Amino acid sequence: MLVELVYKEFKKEYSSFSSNIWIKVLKLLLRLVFVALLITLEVFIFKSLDKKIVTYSSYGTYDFLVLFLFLMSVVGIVSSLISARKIIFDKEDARLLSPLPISPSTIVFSKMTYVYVKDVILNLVISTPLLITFASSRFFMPYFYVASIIYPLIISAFNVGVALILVTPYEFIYKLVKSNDIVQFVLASVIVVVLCFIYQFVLNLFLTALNDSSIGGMFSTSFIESLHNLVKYLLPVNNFTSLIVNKENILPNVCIILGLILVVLSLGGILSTYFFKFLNQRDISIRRKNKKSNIKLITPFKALLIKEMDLLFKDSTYIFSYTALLIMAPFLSYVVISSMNSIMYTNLKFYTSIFPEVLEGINMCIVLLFASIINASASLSFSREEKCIQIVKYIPVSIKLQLVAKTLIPLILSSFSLVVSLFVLVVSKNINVTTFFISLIIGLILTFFNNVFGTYLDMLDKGNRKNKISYLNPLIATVFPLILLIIHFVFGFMKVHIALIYFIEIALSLLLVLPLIIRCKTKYNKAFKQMEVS
Amino acid sequence: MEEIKNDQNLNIENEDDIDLNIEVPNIPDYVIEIKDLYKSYGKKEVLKGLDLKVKKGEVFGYIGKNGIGKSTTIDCIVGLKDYDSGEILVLGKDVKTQSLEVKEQIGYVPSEPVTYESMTGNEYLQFIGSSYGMIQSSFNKNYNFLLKKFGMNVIDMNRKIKEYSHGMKQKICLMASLIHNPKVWILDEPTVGLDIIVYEVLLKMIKDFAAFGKTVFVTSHNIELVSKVCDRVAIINDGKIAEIIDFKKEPLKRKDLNKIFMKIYGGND
Repeated sequence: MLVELVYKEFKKEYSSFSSNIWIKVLKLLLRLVFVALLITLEVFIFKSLDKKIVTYSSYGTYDFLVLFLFLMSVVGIVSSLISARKIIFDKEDARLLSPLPISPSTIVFSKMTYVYVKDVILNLVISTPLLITFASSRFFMPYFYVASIIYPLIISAFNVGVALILVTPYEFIYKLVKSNDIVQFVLASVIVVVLCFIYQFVLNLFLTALNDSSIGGMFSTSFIESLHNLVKYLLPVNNFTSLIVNKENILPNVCIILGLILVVLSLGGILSTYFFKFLNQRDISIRRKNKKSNIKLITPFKALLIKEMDLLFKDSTYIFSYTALLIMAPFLSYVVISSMNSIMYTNLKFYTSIFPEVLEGINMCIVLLFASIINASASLSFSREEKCIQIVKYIPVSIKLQLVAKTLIPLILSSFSLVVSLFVLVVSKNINVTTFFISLIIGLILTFFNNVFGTYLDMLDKGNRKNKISYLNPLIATVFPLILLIIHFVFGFMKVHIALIYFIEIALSLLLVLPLIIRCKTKYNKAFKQMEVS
Repeated sequence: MEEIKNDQNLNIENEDDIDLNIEVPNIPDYVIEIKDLYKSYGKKEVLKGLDLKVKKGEVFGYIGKNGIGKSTTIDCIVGLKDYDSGEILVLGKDVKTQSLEVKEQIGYVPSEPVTYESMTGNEYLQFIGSSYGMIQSSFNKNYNFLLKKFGMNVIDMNRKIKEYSHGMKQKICLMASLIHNPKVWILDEPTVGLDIIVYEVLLKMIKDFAAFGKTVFVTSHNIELVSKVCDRVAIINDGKIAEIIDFKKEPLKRKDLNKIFMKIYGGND
């Protein structure tokens, strides 16, 4: 029975895959290529760091290996936690399984096995290559390579155990966050801020590697010393590496590893089995106040605007892909442009003398790219409705009003984000005042284009078309700023006056918008009416 | 528009808080008229010259086997789908050229409950009421009436719809379809997921709705529902109406509806 249950979990996970054998093969090949690239990149970075750190400290690389493996263990715990919550507290699954003669412990054990297998695969792809890379440069004995392959089987048991202990509190927090829109929005923003910092850290790392002048920054001797002191607390990764690399305290290390795994797995298993039974039988949704209803009617346009805000801000997909990014766009633009300016000034001074306008062109291109790509994700305003597109079509509100309501909110939000981004850049002197104004004009035109054109394409796609074309909008959003950069680059090289270059760029942006305005009423009405709803 | 605004109170039943004295004004004899309707999906022709007339004040059943074009017909009437050729008039108005006027008079219940699930029940009804340009007093009366009718409480209405059961979502759709007191009530498979109590309430509401001179157009797989509440039933086959049965003229056919249905489809459903 256990095997069938585990098989069911995998079947459920991959049920959305196409039944076409060629598509399956293609997807598999793409995955393999991706994994191969990931391993290559990981090994390359680790080897490069190894070479650098070895010159500063004899034990530095070992400490970094433990740190990397520990971080991978944390990633494994987080990913196992997410998977475990999804499958253990799946009400639909529990409803289907509960009438069957299967004990809750068997169900939870099957889910644990599924999460464990996934984590083993993750560690085989990421942790094992690290261990092998470390060993290969030190000519270790073959047993080390065998241990590298066994490592995922051991560490994944620990990861799953910890994930199972945390899964119930996580379920409560998840429900709490899901039920409160403000908490959800704040959390999404915090996650994006953290991601931005990680992004900045990686970018700085890349710049340090590019400069290659000194180990500098994070690789200082004091940092390596602190890491060395920290490593002994990174259980149980440290015990495992100590066992196979240093061959120290073999019995205590084996006991610590096995003891920890036994404790977390037993505790996690017992807790999750208990709460699996408990929570799947009760509604744990947050109680709401029995407040008296006082519903105030508003104008149809206001109602549509509120509905659009609801779709943009209350849908977790859009909170991450649009709203939070929109808030972070000024920060992202600042980080990238300031780093880019630093590279250009320190490394590419020669080129800036040949193409004097290129730096401004690059800065403008980056701002426009951020603005238009983020904005393009909000323009699928009819797809965003999903099944509710039925409601859009049967309510007695004019097409014009519906389209204005659909495009207005993203237009205002994206424009505001663009203005703030440019303001931050001009105040921090990363761009000059001329670039500020030109980028603002072109950015606003592009934002308008993205929203209106994206909405139009989205309507056409819903009109029973076989070949979907809404991908054209993000494509143009990406390509158009690059075209402007090429214009800047070429005309700058030809020593054309900068005012003329800006004029050409603004004229080109207006030309982009022109077809949208000509006969727009007929075109949009027709596209709206032809949208097929099922 | 003014006429609509004055006619937004639900006058279905003898409830204290409902204004009963509102007549249904100027409704033509045929509330829904479909003439020579064609609709295809790619090469597949679903409706092939469909003709249909639904009278004022009747409960009209529209039945047929799966995938025969029942929902497509409804989608064309409501404006969800564009049709290839033909004409659809609702209350004498063309659904293509006077779509807004037509939509204002229709209450539509889709086959699957479709609502904005991130909204609460109250927020969704507010959205629908506002979209239909309702006046506040009519909305309040109809809201309280429907709340009582469908057994929804204030706590439920303040919960997000995504937390609702299937049956509760269906109730919200039913409430939303009636909140603006439409002249034509179109229901596509309305009984799926409803518990027995709400099912009985729905049957009574359909009858009462028609009793006040309004029109109900209902599709269902539930032959029992159709034979119980409908005045006339049309059976669709091969993109056209195969048979129309008038239960007022032939009351005995209510019991035989199942047999007639099977006969038209050669014994296979």
